[in-house]
Amino acid sequence: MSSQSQKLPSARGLGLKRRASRKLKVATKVSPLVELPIELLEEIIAYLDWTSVLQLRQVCISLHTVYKDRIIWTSLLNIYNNSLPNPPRLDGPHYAYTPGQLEKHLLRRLSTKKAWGSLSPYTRTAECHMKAHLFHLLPGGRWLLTAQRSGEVTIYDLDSRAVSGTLIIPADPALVEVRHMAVEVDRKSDFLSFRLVLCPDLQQAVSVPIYQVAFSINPAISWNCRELRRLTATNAGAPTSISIKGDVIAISIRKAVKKDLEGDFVQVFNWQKWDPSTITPQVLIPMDVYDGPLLRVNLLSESEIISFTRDTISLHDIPLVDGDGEAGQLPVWSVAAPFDIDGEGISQPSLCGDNTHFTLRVDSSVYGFAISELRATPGTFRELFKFPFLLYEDILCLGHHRAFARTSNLDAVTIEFTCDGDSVGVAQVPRNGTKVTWCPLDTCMDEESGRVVVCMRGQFTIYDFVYPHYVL
Amino acid sequence: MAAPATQQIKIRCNDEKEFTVDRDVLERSVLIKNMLEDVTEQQDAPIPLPNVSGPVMAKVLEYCTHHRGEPLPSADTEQSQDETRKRTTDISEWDQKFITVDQEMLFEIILAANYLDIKSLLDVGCKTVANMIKGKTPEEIRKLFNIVNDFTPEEEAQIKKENEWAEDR
Repeated sequence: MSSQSQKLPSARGLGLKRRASRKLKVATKVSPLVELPIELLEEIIAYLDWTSVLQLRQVCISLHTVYKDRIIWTSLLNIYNNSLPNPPRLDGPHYAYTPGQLEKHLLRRLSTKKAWGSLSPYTRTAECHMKAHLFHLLPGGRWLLTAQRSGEVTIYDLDSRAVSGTLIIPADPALVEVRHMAVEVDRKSDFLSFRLVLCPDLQQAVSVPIYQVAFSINPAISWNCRELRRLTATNAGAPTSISIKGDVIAISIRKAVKKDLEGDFVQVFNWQKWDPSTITPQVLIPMDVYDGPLLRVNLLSESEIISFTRDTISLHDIPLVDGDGEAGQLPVWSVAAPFDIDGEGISQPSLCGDNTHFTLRVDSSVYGFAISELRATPGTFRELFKFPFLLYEDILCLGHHRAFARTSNLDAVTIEFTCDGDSVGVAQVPRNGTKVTWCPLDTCMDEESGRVVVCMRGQFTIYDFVYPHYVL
Repeated sequence: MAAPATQQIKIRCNDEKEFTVDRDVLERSVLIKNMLEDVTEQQDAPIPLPNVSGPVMAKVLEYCTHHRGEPLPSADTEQSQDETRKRTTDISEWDQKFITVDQEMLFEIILAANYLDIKSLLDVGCKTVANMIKGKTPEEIRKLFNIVNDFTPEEEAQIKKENEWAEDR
């Protein structure tokens, strides 16, 4: 009998035959709603929105059967499409699809829309029962990606009642010490869709896999994750950052092994065109134009890359011609790092998601952290705010005048939120009584939803930021 | 329109109940309208309506009397309406009051409107039922319409899980 539930992987299997046999057993008085001829039920359903339709079909077997594979889905799809300024189109005309296909199509879209949707703010703690190495919050703040050093990637639904993780990429023996992860989401897809690149320690492994994930919150729709490509990077150093934009992937690599080497560099791939068999050379943009170590790179577009060193911020064009490129490109512009009054340099640069603002740590005696706005005029940025708290360990940019900083002490990790340069809220994440001076902690944020996730000791604490106040 | 002597038509329901009604009122029903057009001579025998009972017919006639003289939807407009049909469930004030009946009567009216082919009345009935369903949980719908939950616990859990994503949190 334990196979009973397995016999019904989907309620689609509920046939009329079963219904008939059941009916005999069930009450003698049948509801007039259930007794209505199907065409009249369809008339009624025509006035319902899709949420009501989904509720109604959970009522009883005959109502469940009525909604499967019915013309109603054609009109529901039309209504949905008419509600959008730019609805995604099917490959063919509607009449080329069965109502069942349209139903599936619409439910996939609706569940994806729902999955990307904004959340109602609330703060809570959720267990994740695992120590991850890298964290990435997808736009919208609902989905948290975690990666292990082994290359294992899990997606967490922070909005589910019991925050549960789904393993999307298993550990990969070809990856040694995954150091960085870059994600690019596709909001136009029918799925909760994103690309993900994992970058291992390139001194030990050179394979850089790119995955395409199409996830769904609707269990009736199967999700998938496939490897698109596997790049081979140079093993000349340790990766310091990775960035993906469309077809282009950039990895900044530190050549810190020998001091007499020319310095750090950036490797740029057009992963769509990259093919190991034709041994297309990777495009290198040597960073010998810079003195200091390269802190990170961010692709602004498929043809522009911004790089941060300790004392300069530069923009390069990416000279990609079928995978070949010229080495030693001079930057389009290169400017001294902002706020760096006494020449101590900057660190921890971070670009906010829409590339309009960046934050950095100023290692000077005057300022702690700063937010600047990247301006459209080449080579200029506007210094917006600076925070003279030197104690913070980290700063992340929420974009548009908001920032978030954290510091730690023996008892708790303090998180301070700022808005237009003012401190507007402080949250403390206790260390759960552990007397350690440093505690593994990672944070990520999503500027769209204002959600901040602090990951510490196998626990997520989720904070939601509501402008102009923080809900703590 | 100068009122000509209104023709009176007799109808008989399935419970032998008879009504004598003005022709233009009865012609709200496309079924009866077509019947009357087919018959050219004056008939004395009442039109039999084997699918409608007296009390329901009385209700239907109340509706038809109130809406007499309004243009009937033509087949053409009906078609185009269906395509671009705005799924509004607004019901006019009089119709709203008219349709405030017990559930048994409501469904009888829907069935009668369907049989008699009175599109506007059918719409009012269907909209009313749709409004009753809207925003309710499956359990509330069962309770409201006296529907027996005939899923097995396993099936119910499965269906619930399938639809969980759509719930508002």
